[in-house]
Amino acid sequence: MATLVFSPAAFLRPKPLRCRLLLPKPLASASSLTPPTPRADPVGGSDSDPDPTPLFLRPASHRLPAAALAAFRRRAAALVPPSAPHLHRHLRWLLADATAANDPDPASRSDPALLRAPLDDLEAMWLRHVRGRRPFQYVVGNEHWRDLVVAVREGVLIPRPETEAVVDMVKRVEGFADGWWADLGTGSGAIAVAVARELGAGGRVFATDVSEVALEVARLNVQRYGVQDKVEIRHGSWFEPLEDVKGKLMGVISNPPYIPTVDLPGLQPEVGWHEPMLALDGGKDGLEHLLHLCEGLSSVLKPGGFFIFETNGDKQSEFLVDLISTKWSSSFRNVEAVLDFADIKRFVTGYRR
Amino acid sequence: MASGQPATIAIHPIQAFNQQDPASLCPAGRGFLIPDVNRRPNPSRTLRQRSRPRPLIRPGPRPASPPKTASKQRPRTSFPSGTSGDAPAPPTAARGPEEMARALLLRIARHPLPLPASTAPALPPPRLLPQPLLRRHHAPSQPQLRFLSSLSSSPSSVSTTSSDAPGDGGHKGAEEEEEEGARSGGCVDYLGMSDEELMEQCEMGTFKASGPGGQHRNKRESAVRLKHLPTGIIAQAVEDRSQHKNRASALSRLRTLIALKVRRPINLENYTPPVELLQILPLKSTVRGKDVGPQIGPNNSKFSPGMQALLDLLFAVEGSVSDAAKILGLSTGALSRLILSDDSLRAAANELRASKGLKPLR
Repeated sequence: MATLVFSPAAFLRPKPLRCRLLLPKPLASASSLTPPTPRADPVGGSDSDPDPTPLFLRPASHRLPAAALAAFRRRAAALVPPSAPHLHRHLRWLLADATAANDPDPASRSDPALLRAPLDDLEAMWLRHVRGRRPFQYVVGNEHWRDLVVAVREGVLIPRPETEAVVDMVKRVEGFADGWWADLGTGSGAIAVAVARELGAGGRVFATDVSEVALEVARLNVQRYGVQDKVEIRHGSWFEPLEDVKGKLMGVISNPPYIPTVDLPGLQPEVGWHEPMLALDGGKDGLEHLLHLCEGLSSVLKPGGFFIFETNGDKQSEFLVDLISTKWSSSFRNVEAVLDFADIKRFVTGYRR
Repeated sequence: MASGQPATIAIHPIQAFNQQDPASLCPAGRGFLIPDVNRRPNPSRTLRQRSRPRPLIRPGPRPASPPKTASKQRPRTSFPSGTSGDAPAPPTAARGPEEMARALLLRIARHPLPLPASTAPALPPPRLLPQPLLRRHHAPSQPQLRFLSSLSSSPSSVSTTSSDAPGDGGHKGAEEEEEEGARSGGCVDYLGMSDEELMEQCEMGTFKASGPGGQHRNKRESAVRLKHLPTGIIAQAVEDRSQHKNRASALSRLRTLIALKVRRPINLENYTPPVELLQILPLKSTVRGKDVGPQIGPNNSKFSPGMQALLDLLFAVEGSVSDAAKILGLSTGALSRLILSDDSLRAAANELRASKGLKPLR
């Protein structure tokens, strides 16, 4: 298993600064659900783990009597009410990821149990999740997405279940397997890896991101799934790193930041306090980056090339479909909004003429 | 990393179902189904009653699938705490799992499909829960798990199949059995189908999220809900981390439910127990040949077909364990122990016996 040691500088990065700047006091009442600022870290110290390797990839080298592990499980379960079944599920998954065996009931099998982190660290991780609202995915360092286990950490957007459908739509494009594709703002690289795994011998994915942290994580995921020869990771903003493949791309895929800036204060804490604003803040109306992407499309796509963007939902998708099919009607055809599993018009797709 | 799939976790499916799966709390209503093979009965077909033991539920025409817009009519709050993975409990917190289950069932009972109410006025209430329980609790104001509220179609789909019977449905049921018998010589072996074949007969639903979704939301929800169209049986899995695993879990749960619910007629006169049934019998059974191999237990995926065959037999002998035991070359006690060894099998057998006026096995 290839593991990647993250640079210490990455996790010493200050807590999401922009996040706090975007949450001025007067807006505190915008949502009763989201307190304006994160509560003090329940366990102190940095948001990130001292060990930059995702928990589930660390060696299981910490011995612990099974009874102690079972006690931890009880303590941890006592911290969350029975009315929050998802948190009890998270606890099971945390223990599953933290123990060596692929064991349905880690506390009952091997004695002593082998853990991937000392028990104290696990306690702290659990507290940060249930009290500090740190996303569970950052705690265990992965997200199960499609058939992949995608490594994630602070500084990278956690891939969303809605986005899984992107890969299915891309796969259906004629000539998909041997085309050149771009995943702009790849983040954890989830889309790029999933697409790459479906490609044929001639297929490639250019995965770009402006964030160095994202590229590091994307590189790790690409390595873990052994698609280095299919995915080329490039650093830069949107189309900037793609000058040399202009007009040659079979398709452009992007899940850009699309949340309108005014909506950011109302985000649930797991998102608003912990995920990178860089990957969420879509500017005014959430359209800033989407519009930039639409404008650049025609120069990078080859004739007949496909594009798919994820959007904030109904209004944004309708607006973009309308815009592209009127303003750029000479360049694109079959532009449409596509529903996600919750029947929200989540995606905009189309073809270059 | 050529294989590409990194090590991951495995949650035991049984454990998973037992803990949270609402379907396990309420396995698609009560009673048995005779599969509606053609889904739409042909009214021109001649009616013929068959001399068969009275089935508990006869299928009527399949209810129309719920209108897709129905889910949209629910109010969409922008950031409901329940969908957001919020740590603090809602104000009504501190509910035990049982209470949650009740609240859930309550919601099921409160939100039936719009369809059946008018079509079957004489319909007995779905036998989900004792009535007082239904009245005692208040429904949570905003569904926390919207997906669970979509469960409402689960019991109602079963109750509609049963409730259509009273009017002209009795004849319809017989008619369909006739069709079924004519088509495949007695029964449809759903459990003998491959996963893919079974999947093709299913309608798959996933989560209906409330709120804006996408980047707004952090929730690992990968629940899968399978509706087996020929029988209306619904199975779902919400417990696993990936949708892929949940699909597999839901499918295996569907197999169990089919085994428990779908009764196939057998002819006792020249009955020989099928091999699936022999495999789940204890070794001391006298009809069990040497070549059948070791006894298969409830945790084995091959247990379901055997369980189905056993219930078919029990159904044919009017619920009499001693009669069934004789046919299977076992003592009554040994067969009882086998039935009691699996909770769902025991529940199904007891329900069957209750319908014949027999005391439950303990």
